[in-house]
Amino acid sequence: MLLAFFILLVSGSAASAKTAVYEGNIKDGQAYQLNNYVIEITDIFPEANTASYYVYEKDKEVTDGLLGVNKNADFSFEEKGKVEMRLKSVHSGGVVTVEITMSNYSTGDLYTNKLLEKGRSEAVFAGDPEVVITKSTDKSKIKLGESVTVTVKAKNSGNDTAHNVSFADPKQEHFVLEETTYEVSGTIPEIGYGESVPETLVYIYKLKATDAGAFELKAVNASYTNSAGQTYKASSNTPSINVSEGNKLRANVEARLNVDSLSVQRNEKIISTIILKNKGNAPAQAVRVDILIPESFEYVEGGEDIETVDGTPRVYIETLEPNNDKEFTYTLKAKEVGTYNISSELSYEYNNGIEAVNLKKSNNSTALSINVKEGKFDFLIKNPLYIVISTIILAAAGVHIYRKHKEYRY
Amino acid sequence: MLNILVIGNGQCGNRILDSINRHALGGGKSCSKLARFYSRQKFKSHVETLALNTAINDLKEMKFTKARDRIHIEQLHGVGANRNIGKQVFEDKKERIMRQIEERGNFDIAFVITSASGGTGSSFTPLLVKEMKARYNYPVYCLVVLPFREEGTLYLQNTAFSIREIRQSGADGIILADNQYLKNIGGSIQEAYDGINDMITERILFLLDALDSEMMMVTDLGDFKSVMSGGAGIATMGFYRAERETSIKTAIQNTLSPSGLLFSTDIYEEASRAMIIIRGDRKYLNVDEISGEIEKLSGAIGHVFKGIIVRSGEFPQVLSVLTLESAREMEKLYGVAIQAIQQEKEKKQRVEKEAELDKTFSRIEGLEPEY
Ligand SMILES: Nc1nc2c(ncn2[C@@H]2O[C@H](COP(=O)(O)OP(=O)(O)OP(=O)(O)O)[C@@H](O)[C@H]2O)c(=O)[nH]1
Ligand SMILES: [Mg+2]
Repeated sequence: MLLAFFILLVSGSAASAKTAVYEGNIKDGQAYQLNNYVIEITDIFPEANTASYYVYEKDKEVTDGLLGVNKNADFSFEEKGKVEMRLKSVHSGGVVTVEITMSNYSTGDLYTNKLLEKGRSEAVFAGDPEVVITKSTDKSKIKLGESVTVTVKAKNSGNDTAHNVSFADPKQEHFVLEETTYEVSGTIPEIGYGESVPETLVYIYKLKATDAGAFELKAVNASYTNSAGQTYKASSNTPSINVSEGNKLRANVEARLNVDSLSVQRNEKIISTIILKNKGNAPAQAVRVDILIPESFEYVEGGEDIETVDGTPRVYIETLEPNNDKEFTYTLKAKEVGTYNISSELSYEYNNGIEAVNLKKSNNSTALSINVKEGKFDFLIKNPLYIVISTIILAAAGVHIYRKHKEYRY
Repeated sequence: MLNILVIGNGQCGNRILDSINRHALGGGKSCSKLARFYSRQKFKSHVETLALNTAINDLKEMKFTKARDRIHIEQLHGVGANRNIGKQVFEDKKERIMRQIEERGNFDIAFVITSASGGTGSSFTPLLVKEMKARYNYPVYCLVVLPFREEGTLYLQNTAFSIREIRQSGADGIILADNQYLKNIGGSIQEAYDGINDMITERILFLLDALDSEMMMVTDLGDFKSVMSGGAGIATMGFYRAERETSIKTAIQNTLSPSGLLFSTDIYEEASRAMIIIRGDRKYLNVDEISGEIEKLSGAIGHVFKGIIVRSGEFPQVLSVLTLESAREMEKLYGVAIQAIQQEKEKKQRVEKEAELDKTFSRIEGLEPEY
């Protein structure tokens, strides 16, 4: 041991620029930590003006020796650095005064540089934790609307415990989150390292594809610190998934208007039907048809599934299954001579089996043109309202002409 | 939107104003009297029209101008081509007349239309303009109609004085239209008037429309003012409306040709500033042709303001506004007018002599021949 001391002594003299890191007292049992190195001072002999020292890198002893007052000892520090200890004085009561200097190392990079009051057991060592995140899927090829299970695991393959590990999994375009089976709650306080430590499960969830194409799932990101509180970041791999065009479902409702005759007499009843047929392969929901009848037509009566809203007959059915059709009958009456169009406004919803929300569709039917002729007995019951209206029009025209005349008369 | 005031003074002014209101009703020259019952004047801008006259019959003759816009200035015996009486009447009724303008709100620009040769219009106009310029700060332009030269010495004399007075009144410009120059149009005198009035109307309405239109190359009220402030304060307008597919080059040449102008002038010699407004369907608006023609003109007279209005489906139409730095035709007219004044003077002296003769005759009053 003494020999070792001498070797250290000799080699320690040739040093570059030195920087003092500590000058002060260390008590018996206390230690001084510089990053992962701990200098422990014991066996203080005031009578002999000596003290023993032990240097550990983490838990492994690197060197030790006996130091006399005004004598130096040194050890190499990390890659290229060197630490030099000098015993300045020895006091009764187990106290020494030391001076610790470093060379070939920028002391600003020290993350730990402190006196361990309670000795070596108090030391916290930092390494480089390396959290490796793997994102995997159970399938790499799916059809549109199918799901894929994503599993995210993490393992620390570094040499330090990862502390306060938090994960973030960005929202995935072209997919919707269908179900979350497992999710770590909050941050993981610690992930240990070493072969014996099992993988940590981070997420298990199901994604449902909403678009066809080749997609790369986004990387899961993690951030964590080492024992010394230094921050690290890691990202997972980005597995790719091929989504092929599967079969989207759709409802395709058709509304067909019919009347018993396209040529009718005034005030004659017109028996009309509307047939709704779902030609698609998904059920149509909230199917609504407004039958647009001209103003000069009157809605006389109809089945109880037809209600009138503001004079417009409306058919409403909750669901119309694929390949089903439904017929509704109602009666109209034409009040005025002329050619009129009857049409309908249809709207419904359906689920395409892929998207979560229902798709809305609406369309207008082609118009049915009805020719209304003078009724046989119309001449008997000529509506006096017409006379009133034409009188009003004539009077208004008269007033207008008179006003204009006056405006220009000079 | 611009606020525009158009005043027509005297019979000639009234008639042109009525023509403007008729054309604006739509239907153009052939607009029926009935149109006023179902249509209304389609001005792009807010346009107020006002007809002033001492002769109630002239006002009654108007068909397309609202009654409230026809203002009769009572004068027992009319004015009878006597400008001194006309001036007197205006001074007496000034406040009444000005109130009519005041009531119609504020304007961005005003036009006063008159003949130069009659009694009422030619005497009202300079005094009216002077009054308007004193009260308002919008520009006032006069459209002045020159008489047929054979209409007699009195009319020529009136023309000479009234134009001088209008120039001195503070008017921002005078646009000339010459009956003599335009007379080959019609058969009867009434037809000739109507034809000339239509020509003037067409140009004015086009100008009003243009001043308030979106243009591709901009000319606006400001440019119009700049053009009108050039030269000797006298301007005229040219116009051409193609009735069929016509190149824009031809249309521009026609607007500047004698047949397009309202007053006899050699524009390449006499014009001082010009503004050319081109309107029509995009397919006619060949930029090279337009530039070529405009360059020809600006080469002779200097800067030419140009505006292009795209109106789909329209054949090319071109309006030119030209201010003149000299007007040989005007000098000629003044030459004739001076002679006319001389003649009038001599006539008056002769009348005075006749009066003396009367005195001589009166000496035998009460006497009976003695035989
Ligand atoms: N272009 C054109 N010129 C007209 C018209 N009516 C009259 N004139 C011309 O106007 C001159 C006569 O002036 P008027 O406007 O009739 O006279 P006024 O202002 O009514 O004045 P007095 O009748 O004298 O009180 C003549 O030279 C006519 O040739 C018209 O409708 N069109
Ligand atoms: Mg008159």
